[in-house]
Amino acid sequence: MKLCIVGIGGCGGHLAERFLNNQDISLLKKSLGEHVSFGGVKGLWLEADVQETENQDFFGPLERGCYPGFFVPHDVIGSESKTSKLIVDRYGYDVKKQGFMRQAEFLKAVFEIFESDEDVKRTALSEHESENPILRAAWDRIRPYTTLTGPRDNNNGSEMCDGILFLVSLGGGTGTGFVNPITRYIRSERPAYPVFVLGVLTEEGTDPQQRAKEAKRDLGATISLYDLLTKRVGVGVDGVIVIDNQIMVEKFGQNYPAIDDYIHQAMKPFVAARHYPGEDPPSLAMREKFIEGQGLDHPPILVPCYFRDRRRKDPEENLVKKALSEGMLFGCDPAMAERAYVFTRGFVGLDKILGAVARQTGLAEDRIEPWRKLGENHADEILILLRNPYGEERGCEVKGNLEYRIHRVIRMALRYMDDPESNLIPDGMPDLTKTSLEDYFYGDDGVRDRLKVGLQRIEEGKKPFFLDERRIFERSNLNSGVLEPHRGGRKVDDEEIRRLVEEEVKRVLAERGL
Amino acid sequence: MNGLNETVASAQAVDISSPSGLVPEGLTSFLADVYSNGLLGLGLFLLLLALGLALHGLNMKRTYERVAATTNGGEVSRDDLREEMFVRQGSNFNAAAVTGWLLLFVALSYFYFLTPEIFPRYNYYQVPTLASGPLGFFAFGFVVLLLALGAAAFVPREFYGYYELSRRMKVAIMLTGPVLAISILLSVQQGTTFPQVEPASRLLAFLALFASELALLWPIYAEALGGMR
Repeated sequence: MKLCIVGIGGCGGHLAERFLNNQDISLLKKSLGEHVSFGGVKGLWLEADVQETENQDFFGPLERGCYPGFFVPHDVIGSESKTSKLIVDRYGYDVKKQGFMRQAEFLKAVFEIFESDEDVKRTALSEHESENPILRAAWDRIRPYTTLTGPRDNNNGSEMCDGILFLVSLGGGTGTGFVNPITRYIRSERPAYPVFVLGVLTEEGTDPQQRAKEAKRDLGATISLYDLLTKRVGVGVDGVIVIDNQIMVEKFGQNYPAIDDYIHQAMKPFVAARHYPGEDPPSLAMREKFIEGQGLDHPPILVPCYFRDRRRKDPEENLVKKALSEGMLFGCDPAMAERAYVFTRGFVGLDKILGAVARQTGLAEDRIEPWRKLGENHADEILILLRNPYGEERGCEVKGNLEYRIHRVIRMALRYMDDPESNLIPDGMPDLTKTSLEDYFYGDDGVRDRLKVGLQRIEEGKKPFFLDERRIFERSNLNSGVLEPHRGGRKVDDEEIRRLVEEEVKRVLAERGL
Repeated sequence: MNGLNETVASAQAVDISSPSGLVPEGLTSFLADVYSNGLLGLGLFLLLLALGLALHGLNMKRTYERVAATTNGGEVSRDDLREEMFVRQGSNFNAAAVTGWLLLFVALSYFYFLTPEIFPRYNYYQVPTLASGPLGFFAFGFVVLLLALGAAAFVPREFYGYYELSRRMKVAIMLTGPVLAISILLSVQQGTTFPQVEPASRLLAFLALFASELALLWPIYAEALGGMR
């Protein structure tokens, strides 16, 4: 497995920098050779705020051939664009607005317009040769790092990525709003391509980085999580790895670079190379493991639990115990997990690690998937991704549970929606937009109602807590009603998908000599 | 002439061990004894090298045994394991490592074999056509460079490729290039001013040579030391 790391927005960019940091040495910050990242990962940074890109020197503009590079997707829309003008006139949204105002619903609305308004689609197609030029441009920048453009090995020892990991902040602006549309866009072209999201939920109270109130951030996080978790399996992402910045802040204070370093360290077993011989599955096979099992209709929440210790004899029991107690990056009750995906670095026994995880979580061993890798610096590491570790009745009343934290986030989001000062339906917007936003937020079966249902389901210990997707313009007259696969890229029929999957499976089996 | 050189070297060694000197007196005289004793110095150099080779083999064996011990059935293909263990360190690092190893052998040759001071019967001055040529020093170094090229080119792939090297360690290895260049320059200076000997620069060239050798081999030693815990 080799992942393409795509940081979206400010937080995503900071994290992506850790993942993509060059392991090679350089003179005066100039590397003459190929960029070598930990685990061989590749990637880029998608950012909506041009100023943010100017305040850093790690990423360079992709247009100038820089690597690692950043890309500002909405730059593909010119200032005199007819598409842009049509959207402003009809909906009041300026698609070139910097930073997207730290509102998840802004980007959600913009991309829904591209997906559902036939006039916008036609105009964009004639002007940009794509119905959704922003997402198309972003995907065109990601795709070259993946196996979708060529063979896995590019003949110089550098492998292409066979999966994508998006890094976003849940509660910011760009990351929160962009991750769902881009995932949907990729999925419409490549239904089986493995896509994961690592989302960092912003902390409670004041967050000096986001410069926004907790309730406002929580509404963004809730909308983003809602959209991520209500897609059907195979339509949305294959897993949402959640990290609670509240836990990180309690551990590191507001030293955000240290937090970013720790998150990268914790994810190293996931992205590292140097597998135990014969234990390197392609991402496609791993994806199947993440979404397998009866009753899983929606993408799972994955809670990471990490621990690192100096190498010692028989480390398995201690590693698992510490990871599941002091190493949780999002509070939860491990006993509620449906499955566990275990990534280790160091010398650990397969049976021992299975046994230890089974004992500590109560899971049957056939619900535990271990992947082992060689370690470094005389240390053993473990990362356990617990699948959907929630669902206890009244679990939301137990501090430290996933239900407790999510319940609080949803409550804060509802509070923000009910605050007259929130101005979620801005004055000056066209009636169409105002009506649609009103309906989306406050209408019958709108987000407000659905979040209340979500709260109730959490309290009752039901899974999943969010049920059906809700779109902003789904009841507007201009909506075609059906979200079609995008045009402008190449449309792929079922037969071709079947053929591609068969070829990939054959290739993998041949690689393994089966 | 050799006796004269030794006398000069001893006198200068005492000079740099004075209170204002760089290193304590006892250590200085010990180092002077080591660097002026060619067989001891060369022996130490080869010992460090041989130890590095042996420990690399031990590290690989130990990794294999640990992977096998934690694998059901205990059967692991050595070739598959080597393939999985291999890490791309980056072409800048590889170039720096090859340069470091090349310069290490050149610096060693310049230190011990450029002037007759240490090996009176085996040195550059014993080849009159080379010693009297306008590019004699350069030709001497170039021949050593060519001889060492095969070994140095093999090092990054066969040694460093199997270790997770921190950036700090990579930088240390990269810095062996300039440090060894200093050692070479100091030896060249000795060769130019011979029979006059400058013990301080001789000592510095010696320290640069052996510190670089240790730095180049350190990933292997560190892994072996950690593995002993």
